[in-house]
Amino acid sequence: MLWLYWRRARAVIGAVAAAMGALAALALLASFLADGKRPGAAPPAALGRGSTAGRSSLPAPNDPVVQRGMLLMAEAVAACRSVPYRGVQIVAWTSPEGSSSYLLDVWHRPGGPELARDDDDSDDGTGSLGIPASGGGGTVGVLSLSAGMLDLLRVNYVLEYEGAGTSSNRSASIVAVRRHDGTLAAQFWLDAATGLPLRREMFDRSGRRVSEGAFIDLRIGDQELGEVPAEAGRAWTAVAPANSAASRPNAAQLASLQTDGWRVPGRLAGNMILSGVSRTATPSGPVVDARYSDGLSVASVFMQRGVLPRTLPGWHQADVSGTRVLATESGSLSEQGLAWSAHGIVYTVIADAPPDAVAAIVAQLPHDSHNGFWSRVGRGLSRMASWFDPFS
Amino acid sequence: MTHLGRWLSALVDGELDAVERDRVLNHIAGCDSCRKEANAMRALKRRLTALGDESGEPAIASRLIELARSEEPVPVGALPWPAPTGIAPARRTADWGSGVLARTWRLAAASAGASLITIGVLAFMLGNGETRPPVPKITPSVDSYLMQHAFDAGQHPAGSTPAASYSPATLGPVQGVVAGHAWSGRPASGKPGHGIARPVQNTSGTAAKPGSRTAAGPAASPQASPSPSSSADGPAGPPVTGRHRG
Repeated sequence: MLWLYWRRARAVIGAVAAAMGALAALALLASFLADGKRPGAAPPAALGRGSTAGRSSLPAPNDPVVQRGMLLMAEAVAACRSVPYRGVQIVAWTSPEGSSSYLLDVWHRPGGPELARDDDDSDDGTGSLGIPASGGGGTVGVLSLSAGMLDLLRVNYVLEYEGAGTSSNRSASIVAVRRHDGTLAAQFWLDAATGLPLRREMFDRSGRRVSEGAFIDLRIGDQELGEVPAEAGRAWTAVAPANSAASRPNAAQLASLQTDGWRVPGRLAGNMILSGVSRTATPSGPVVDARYSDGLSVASVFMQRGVLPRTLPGWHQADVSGTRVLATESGSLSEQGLAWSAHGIVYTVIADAPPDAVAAIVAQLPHDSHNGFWSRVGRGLSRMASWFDPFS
Repeated sequence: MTHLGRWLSALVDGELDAVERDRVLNHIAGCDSCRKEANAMRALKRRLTALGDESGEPAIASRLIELARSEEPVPVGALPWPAPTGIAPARRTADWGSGVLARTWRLAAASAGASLITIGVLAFMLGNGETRPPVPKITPSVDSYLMQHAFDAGQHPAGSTPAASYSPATLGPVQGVVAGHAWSGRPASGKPGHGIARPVQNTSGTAAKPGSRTAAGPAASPQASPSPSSSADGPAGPPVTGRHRG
């Protein structure tokens, strides 16, 4: 009898097993495709970019190409401070999850900061070149260089003159920014006439291009400025004096922040060094902003006392370095706002940095580890024990 | 009140020897109260004896005896109390004791287990949330954070109005509240509640949702990307060439 049933069911069992095997193979293939880890597949952005590969050795600090690279970058910093210009920048970020880009109108008057405005602020909703524009108050240009960022670049990277080129129909000198392991971190196209940065490309450690920023329209000279918009007001106060040589808070100021309950690390993963702390007051309490940079990327870590709701409109759950966080809807990790709460502090990280750098920053900051079953039971037992403690 | 005490009951039960019995009977012969008491005790004994005979249903008794014999005998030494002296092999008493002991242990184990489960469930329910004092729920003010991040990156967000009256020297302290979407900087500066960037071109075909700074796509489009290789495909890509040092 059993044999009879087995013979009848054998075909069905075989069909089900074959279907499950096919599904497993499909899932495996899909995971490979999603991760971009097909055997033999090269990173798309790295294709055709043999010159961006890492080197086994770096030139010596006194090598002429290094000396010239540092000289060109110093001239670029000076040009960013003294040359009047107006233009439109395009900034694009690429990550395995996707890519994004936005346009910026920028103005600069000698001695002042670079003013930036999203290109969709124009009346017709398009950019100055008629290109559908991006929007957003938080869009950040990546071409302006400051003395502080150059100092960080010199510490964390090796600058090297790579040759001549063109960008935006202007002659340029190319300076490579290499990590100390020889891999290419970024390239700058510096205007041969003025020294202004015309273009910047940034690469992750695997050689994949993660960010591009370039002028698509650049007009140099006071007469080209036209109507310069006003600078947005700023409600944040720097902890370190604004006129100090370095805006980085000193040890005493950091200790004072620590006393107030703000734990501000002096350094984060990826050579991100604390370069400034600001604070502001809000109806829901004070907010502290710690600024970190390695000379190429800038990460802002906002801290506010409280807890984060489980869900927020416009945010979604994301997994970053094995940690559950809330992330602003869509967008690549390099430009998302990532938020979580730990130990009574809500952390929000906004960074213009490669995704792996952002993930390392998130992983290094505090997180609650009280999400397990036994930790929850332990908290409950502690709470019950407190009922019988006459001193609690 | 009788004068004989327990001697009277011993007489009724027939436990006295001949000498004691004669002495008790002599007293009863001259004492009305003791004689009445002895008669009452004999009558009671007869009634009790009669009751025992009537309730002694043979079938029930035999079944009870068989039931008792079916249980495993327990050694007298295993009992938690010393075996009564003068009682011949107390097998039924031992069996009864072991059963009570087993039931007691089972009851204790069940009670302990139920208590542990109850405490565990209660602790799990109470363990939800932090033990520290309650703190307010915070919604990160992304717009103001993004604006501050622009400052951090070395750029200053610009307003949409010209800076005809712009004078850094006349700028007073900004009293605006940034977080909580209550930005109130100078009227001519900034854009209250700035949105978050939308894509130049979204190759995935899905527009950025409100609240997002950027929109995702599978790859940068030629138009969106300032890639050197795409410079001839659209106006957004500036021509870039590089002559890399060998």
